[in-house]
Amino acid sequence: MKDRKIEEYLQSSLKNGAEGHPLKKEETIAGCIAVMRRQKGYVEEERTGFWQFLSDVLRFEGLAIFGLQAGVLLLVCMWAGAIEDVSHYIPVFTPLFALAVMPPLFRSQFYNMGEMEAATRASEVEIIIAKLILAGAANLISITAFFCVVMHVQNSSENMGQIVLYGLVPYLVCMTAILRLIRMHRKERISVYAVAAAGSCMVWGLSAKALPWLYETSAAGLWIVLFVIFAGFFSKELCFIWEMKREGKIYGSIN
Amino acid sequence: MEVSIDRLTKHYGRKIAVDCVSTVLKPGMYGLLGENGAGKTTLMRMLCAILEPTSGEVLLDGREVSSMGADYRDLLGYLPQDFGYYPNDTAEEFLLYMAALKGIPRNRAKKRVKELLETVGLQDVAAKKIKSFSGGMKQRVGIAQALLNHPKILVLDEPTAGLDPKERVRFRNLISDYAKDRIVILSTYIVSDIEAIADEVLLMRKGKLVSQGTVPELTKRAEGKVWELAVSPAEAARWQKKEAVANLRHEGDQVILRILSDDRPAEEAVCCETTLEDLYLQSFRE
Repeated sequence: MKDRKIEEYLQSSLKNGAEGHPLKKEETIAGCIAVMRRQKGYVEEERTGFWQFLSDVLRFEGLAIFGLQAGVLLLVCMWAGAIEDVSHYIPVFTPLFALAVMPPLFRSQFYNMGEMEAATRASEVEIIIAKLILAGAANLISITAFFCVVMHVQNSSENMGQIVLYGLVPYLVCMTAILRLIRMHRKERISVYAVAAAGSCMVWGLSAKALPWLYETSAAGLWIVLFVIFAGFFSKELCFIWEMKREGKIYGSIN
Repeated sequence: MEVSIDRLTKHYGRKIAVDCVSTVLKPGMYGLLGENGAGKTTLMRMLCAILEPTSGEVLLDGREVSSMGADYRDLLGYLPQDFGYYPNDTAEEFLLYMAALKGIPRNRAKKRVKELLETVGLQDVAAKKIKSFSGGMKQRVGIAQALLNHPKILVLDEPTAGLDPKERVRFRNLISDYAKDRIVILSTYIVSDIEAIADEVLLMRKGKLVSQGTVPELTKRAEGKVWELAVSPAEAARWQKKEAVANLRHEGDQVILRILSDDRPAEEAVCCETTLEDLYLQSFRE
């Protein structure tokens, strides 16, 4: 294509009998240079792939994501160590790990960077997916570490399955709400949600006192049902976000 | 390269922000003029595919941009009107972050950031935090981020806001050089900026594209409708109430009024050369 254009230009110059005329020759050279310069502007530049992009996001956001998780983990472990019968209070702690991913996830909306970021190659969806991958990894590490601490505090791994359910159900509730917030692009609801999630921790804490049967072995079935329901909602929200990326859908950052 | 805007419309409930706008943009500099709320920002957002139109479409060489995804955004440089920044980032960090989002490999990004910081005159404060910058300096960081990926389509929403006259001239030179083989569309309320650099002007009013053309073409439409009249200071107030006065300047004991009127407002009134500002004021007279 490029060569053809240059060839066409040269052919037309030759047809016009320009080959012997020094002035025309200069014009032809200048014309060719102009064509080549114009085409240079269309040369595709190298762009990074998703994994390189993910490592870039880790470079810029990693400290915030992992630092906050480490902070929450430390706090939660100290708190858990001071509580008797810690297994009943696990639902109080795990939403805090979900809450800790909120500042890096919503940073661009908070600082009014969303519009600018949405117009980049990565798009808002890819940025969110990269942040979610990192936040998910950070959550996985810290929640696993927390369960290990609980086991250590209890000095046994009995009822481990139930303990995991006590932790994961409230966590999935919070994360589903966060993903929904991301999908709905409701900046003004972020703080309302954060307060509601923190409030839910208190409700879970009260439930340990008011509804002790909820933490009996006999209630395991209820926890499993809750887990399946919220895992379903959570997966659905993840699918929505993934679908947006797959379709290349880039709208929605501005309402 | 050609960007076609085809019957682009955006409704916010009952309010029509952009009303069936159609135009074709080819490489060159386009100035978008219009009063506040005319729909300039909404149009620019839809052009950048970050806002979904109610109806209509934006096509790049015949392909709908919303379906192009990253391929389209790769060609795009965008400076929003009210853009934020991460306050603890330095100018260099901020630009490197934006370069990462634009998919520019790290080593090339460093080089490009350095180059652009020099271009916008911020090389000496590259390591300083953006929160310590003046409005004009922040604006220059915004302009630099828009240029990071050598965009073929550059959309600038009020880029000269907050820039001092010297910075504005520097910006104008930079952008007019840039528009040679690219599509640059900028909106500004500073009419002289558009007059100085725009190849074509798009005039928007109440969501509609009311006029499009080169500055001479547009000003020609207002020819014979701009008058200068010398009056006494006492009469000046009366004229201001009676006619649309675009400008007023004192010369000795007299006041020279620049009046926009379809007919000669007075026998002594002299018809004068029309500027884009006159056309703008005439278009938004009511």
